[in-house]
Amino acid sequence: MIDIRKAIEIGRVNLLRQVRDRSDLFFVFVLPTIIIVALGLQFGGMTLVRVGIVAPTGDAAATALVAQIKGDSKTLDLRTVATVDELRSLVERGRLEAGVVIPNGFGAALSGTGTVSVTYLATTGALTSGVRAPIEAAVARLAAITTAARIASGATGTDAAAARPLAENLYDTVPGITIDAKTVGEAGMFAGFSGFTFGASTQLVLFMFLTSMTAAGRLVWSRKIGVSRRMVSTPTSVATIVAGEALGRFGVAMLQAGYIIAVSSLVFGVSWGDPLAAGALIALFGVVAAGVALLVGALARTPDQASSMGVFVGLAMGALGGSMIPFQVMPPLMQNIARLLPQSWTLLGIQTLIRDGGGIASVAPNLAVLAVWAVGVMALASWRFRKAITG
Amino acid sequence: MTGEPQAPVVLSVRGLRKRYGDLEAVKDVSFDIREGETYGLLGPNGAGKSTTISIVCGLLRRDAGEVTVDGKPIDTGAVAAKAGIGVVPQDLAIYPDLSARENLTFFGRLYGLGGARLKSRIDTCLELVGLADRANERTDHFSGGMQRRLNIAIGMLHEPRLLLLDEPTVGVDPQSRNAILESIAALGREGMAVLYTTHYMEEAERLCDRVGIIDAGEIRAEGTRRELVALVGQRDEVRLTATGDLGAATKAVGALPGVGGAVVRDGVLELVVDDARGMLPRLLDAVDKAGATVRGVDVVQPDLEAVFLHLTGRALRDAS
Repeated sequence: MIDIRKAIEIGRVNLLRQVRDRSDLFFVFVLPTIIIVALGLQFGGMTLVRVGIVAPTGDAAATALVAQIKGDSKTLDLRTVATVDELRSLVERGRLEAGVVIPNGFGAALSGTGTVSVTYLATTGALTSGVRAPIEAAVARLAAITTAARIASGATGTDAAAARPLAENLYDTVPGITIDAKTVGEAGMFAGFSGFTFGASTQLVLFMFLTSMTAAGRLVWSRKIGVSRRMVSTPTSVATIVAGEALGRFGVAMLQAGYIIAVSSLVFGVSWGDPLAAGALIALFGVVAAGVALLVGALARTPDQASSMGVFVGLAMGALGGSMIPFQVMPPLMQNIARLLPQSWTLLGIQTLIRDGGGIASVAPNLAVLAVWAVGVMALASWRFRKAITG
Repeated sequence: MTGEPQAPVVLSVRGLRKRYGDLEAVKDVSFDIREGETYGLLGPNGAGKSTTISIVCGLLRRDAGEVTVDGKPIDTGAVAAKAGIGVVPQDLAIYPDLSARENLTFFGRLYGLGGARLKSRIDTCLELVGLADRANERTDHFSGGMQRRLNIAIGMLHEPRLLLLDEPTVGVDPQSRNAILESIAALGREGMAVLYTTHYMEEAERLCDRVGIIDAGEIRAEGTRRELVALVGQRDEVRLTATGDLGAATKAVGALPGVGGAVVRDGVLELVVDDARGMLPRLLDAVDKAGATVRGVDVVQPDLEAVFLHLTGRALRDAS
């Protein structure tokens, strides 16, 4: 029989001791914040692409094309460059991701009959090839308007310069051909995330586990100094002691989760999706983390050994489970390995809630896997810990 | 034969046995402790004292035997019956990062105390062990003696019928040891049954109403101090302060007829002999021939140390 009040008391004291340990406070509160900020700044900055523009001054058509390229994009940082040579140099040295050269007399050439060329400069790479699309789209729009004005001028004998405003006005009203693009399969690595969201979700999973592991060392210490055996000598069942110690580790994991969620929401504006579903995912993962901490605390012979084991297990499972390297960029074999770990199910569940919305039903498979993990690891840990304190 | 009615038995231990592999750590140990009685288990390290206490408080499974507290059987699963037992382990089983009051609160709740009664008992126990003015300090700032006193306070917090103390003064300075022994003596006077293990003869003599002398897992003798000393019979304890080859001298005197045991400790040959006055010339002669020189002679009243020497042929502290 488990005495709930005594189990809560054991858990409370565990949590109190964790909070009092100043060295742990750095790992629980300071380090996760630093990493979330660092990841947020890194991933947030990566999507801003610097594009140099060489364009004739005072040319309305050139100015319009530049405005069209910029559009409402938040990812393009357009910078005016004086000469083509300077632009080429900046792109080659990596100071700019790409460059666009609009030739002199651009506006007049559009009203003429000859071919007009806009030059795109970039190094090879996924990022720069991605930049080309909005530039080509802007040029294609201008080309369509120019072509229509030239055809109208040729057909009606009107001046091309006069036909151009008409073509521009009608462009958006004439039905054309559109591309209906849809994304299928796994969402992209950062799709639907701000930089802080991605960092907060991965670090939540990583630090919940790691912080629980630090509590494993404290558990070994309690065994070493005889406090655990002293608890057994009181009128408290071993089941209650095991439950209390597990509750303590669970409390530590949830304290860590609560802090990361609070800071990321209040300071960085991260939205964690449906509270009930996110709470269920995090709570179940907390039970898993508490179970592993209890198991490490039962198996290790010294607090140092528990710390080493805990850090190794925490970092290894975190890395394999997607807390360091995004699941989406892992090769198939590593994705299969990740799918065996509770970290990946938690992380993918949370990311689903953040990106796609939805509630409990949308993460039901994740919750089911985590529940199996929680029951399994807690049963194993309870058995080992019971042996450790009564053996 | 009539006499004063005896106090009820609180702890009854019958035929206790415990084996670790090939080692039989406890061999058929039996004893009773009555209300208000302090019973000492005196023996060297490894004699089986801690194993016996661990079984009595339900921490360790026994191989055979029976333990009851107030008639209720005790074993590892007897959770409710443990409410009648207070345990003071040999280890300092306290949280170093909690204050004395927080440690007492925690263990008090595990003993089922709460509310005003818990607060009152904490204050009483802190006062009793002299830690009232340091109650809110973290215990890792305490001296070893203060930590030992807190260790004891936790054991008596819930006013148990039986208090088990496993070498509670190990590593404690003389002043703290005196304070601890005073506290324990007070508990006995209040009617608590106390089981006290030690390898310090002086503690057993000062504190215990009855003593069981335990060695190699067996209780070799049991009784009051007077009863145990009587086992040595009319024998005397002779202490020869000597220099030179004390090893050879010990062998030489040990081989003489009428010598019950001989050990050397701190430059002193300790002997239990049948008749000190009559044997002294032969003892001095044997020591001299063995290459040692006697500097001083004491004939003392036999104590529990002499009893242990008489029963086992070894000195209690040497065996420790």
